[in-house]
Amino acid sequence: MPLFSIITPVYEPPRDAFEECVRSVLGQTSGDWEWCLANDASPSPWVSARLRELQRSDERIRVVDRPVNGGIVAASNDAIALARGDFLVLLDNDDELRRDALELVARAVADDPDADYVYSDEDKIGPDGRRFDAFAKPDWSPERLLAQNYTSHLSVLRRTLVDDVGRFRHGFDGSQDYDLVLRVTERARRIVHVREVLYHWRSLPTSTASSASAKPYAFQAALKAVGEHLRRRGIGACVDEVASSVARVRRMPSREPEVTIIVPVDERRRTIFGAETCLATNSLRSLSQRTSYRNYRVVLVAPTVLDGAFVDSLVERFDRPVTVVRLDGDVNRARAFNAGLVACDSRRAVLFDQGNEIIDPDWLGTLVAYEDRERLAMVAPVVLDADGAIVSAGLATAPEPHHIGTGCRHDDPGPLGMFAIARECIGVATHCALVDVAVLKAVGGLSERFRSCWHDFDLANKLQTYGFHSIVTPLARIRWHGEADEPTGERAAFESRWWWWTVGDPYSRIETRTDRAWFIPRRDEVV
Amino acid sequence: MSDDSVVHSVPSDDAERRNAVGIPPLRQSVAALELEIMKVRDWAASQGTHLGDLRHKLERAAIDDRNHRDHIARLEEALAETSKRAAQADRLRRELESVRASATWRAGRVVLGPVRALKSLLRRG
Repeated sequence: MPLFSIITPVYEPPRDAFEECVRSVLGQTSGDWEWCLANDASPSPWVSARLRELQRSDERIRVVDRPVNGGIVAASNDAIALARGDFLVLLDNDDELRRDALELVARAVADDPDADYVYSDEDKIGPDGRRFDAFAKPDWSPERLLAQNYTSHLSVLRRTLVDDVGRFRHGFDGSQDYDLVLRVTERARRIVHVREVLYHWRSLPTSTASSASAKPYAFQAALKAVGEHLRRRGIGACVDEVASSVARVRRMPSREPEVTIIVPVDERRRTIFGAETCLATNSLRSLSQRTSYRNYRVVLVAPTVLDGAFVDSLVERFDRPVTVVRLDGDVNRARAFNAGLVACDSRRAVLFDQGNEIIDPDWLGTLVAYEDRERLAMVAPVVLDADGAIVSAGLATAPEPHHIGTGCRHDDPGPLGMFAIARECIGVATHCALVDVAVLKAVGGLSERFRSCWHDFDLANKLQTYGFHSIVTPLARIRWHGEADEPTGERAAFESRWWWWTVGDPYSRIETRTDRAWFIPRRDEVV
Repeated sequence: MSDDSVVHSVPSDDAERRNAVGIPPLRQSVAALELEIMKVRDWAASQGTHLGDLRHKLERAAIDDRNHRDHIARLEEALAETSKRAAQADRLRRELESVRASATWRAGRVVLGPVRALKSLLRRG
């Protein structure tokens, strides 16, 4: 069993809350812990007296009294200086640990001995002792961590690694733990998520648990920590605030590699903003006129029955190489995209639906900027409908397959700000997605046994099986004028293929379905 | 490099014409084959999922099997213990019977007969 050193800087805690905190530590089911407390010159005499009393009563408790108040960073570092354990457990002086928190963390470390950083789910405790806002966190999601410190509590870090990175740093007060986690995760061998609420964060009117705006300086420190983290990793990006205390990282592409845009086309027409419009013509006009990225070529995939003059008129819209792939017989979206992938010479391709219209001219550069990420199979923009509502902000497969955010307004930040930030998800919609061609070919492309969007969920599960992930970014947006898939009875086929799939969705553990999830095939279509 | 090799490396007009005619269908065949490979990989992925399922079931079955074997071993152990105890009880019963059949036991009963009668009278009284 590893020894855990609980690190608690103490400064004028509410007495009742502190006693609850003490009870939660002394009541731990695992006895392999020590508690290192640093009293940061609290003015109330009871604090020092109580800490001394605790030290006398239990030899596992060690206390340092700071002669002058130095702030949370200095106090936390003084507490760390007392620590002898294998892992540091960060605990605030008014919060509580679950009774078996350390036992469960010890079990997680035993299962994964290379774990250097362990975090858990958390909830909040109100002034009346009521627990609320349980946060079922995603598994390790580094892109999301750049926008919000979602790992936060409970954080357990290997002590030697914390020493190596230089412990807490001055100048990051309020977000010192975020800064430390960013530096530790840069070097961590393994990061483990315990899917249990192990930490109860006390929500007081002055704490960040009640509102992030309670400590605005903390958010500024967070932006600074992320900026430095990006610089250390050599990622060109700028960080800004998009909503109240929600940061957004805009990556800058360092180069313009060639990208092939694959567009399956036909003569389908729809009424767009009151005018009868050919979807393919509208989409390719928008693509050729509004895309600022220069180094791309186009592959049009058309059924052989499609009029040659119509296809030629589409080709003429581009002043760059366009390849036309003709397909015989029944052409569904999966088959068309697969044929486009085969015709593609570049490392990256974009699956582009003919119902799309470009909103942001730098959409392609925004997607390409993620190309340095490891095990990344797909990057997608947020797809909006003609009214500006979200069609898809990524896919989730838990509690059942659905598009995230369908029907929400495009400026709605969503639960925990997730629509406003770039983040990992199990898969993305193939309305528009930058893909790694080799990866997609290796997993067999989109499964042609699904005619409707079920092939997107199928692809998401396949990529997850092979250890790949996807990113969705709201910094690129696409307007989609296509039609929702008709129920095709394919849910049953999907479920029969994946019924044993128990790993679930590592990135969406909170409810992200919406009432207006009209795009999603419904359960009642099961045949 | 000899002059001959230079001559051989320059394609004739005929060869170019043949290539121009032959290459596009070959490219189409390659593309069709690549599509087939993708389909096979997709099928393999689905079989992989079934394989995962079967492996999971196999692991469960192995655990169940081990549990059953453990249970059987415990039952056999208990059975052996029961037989041992039964044999022990049998031996003790036989010893008791031989004690009761002995002359010493019978003489003792005769000697203690009045005491038993007195005890029974006292109990009734």
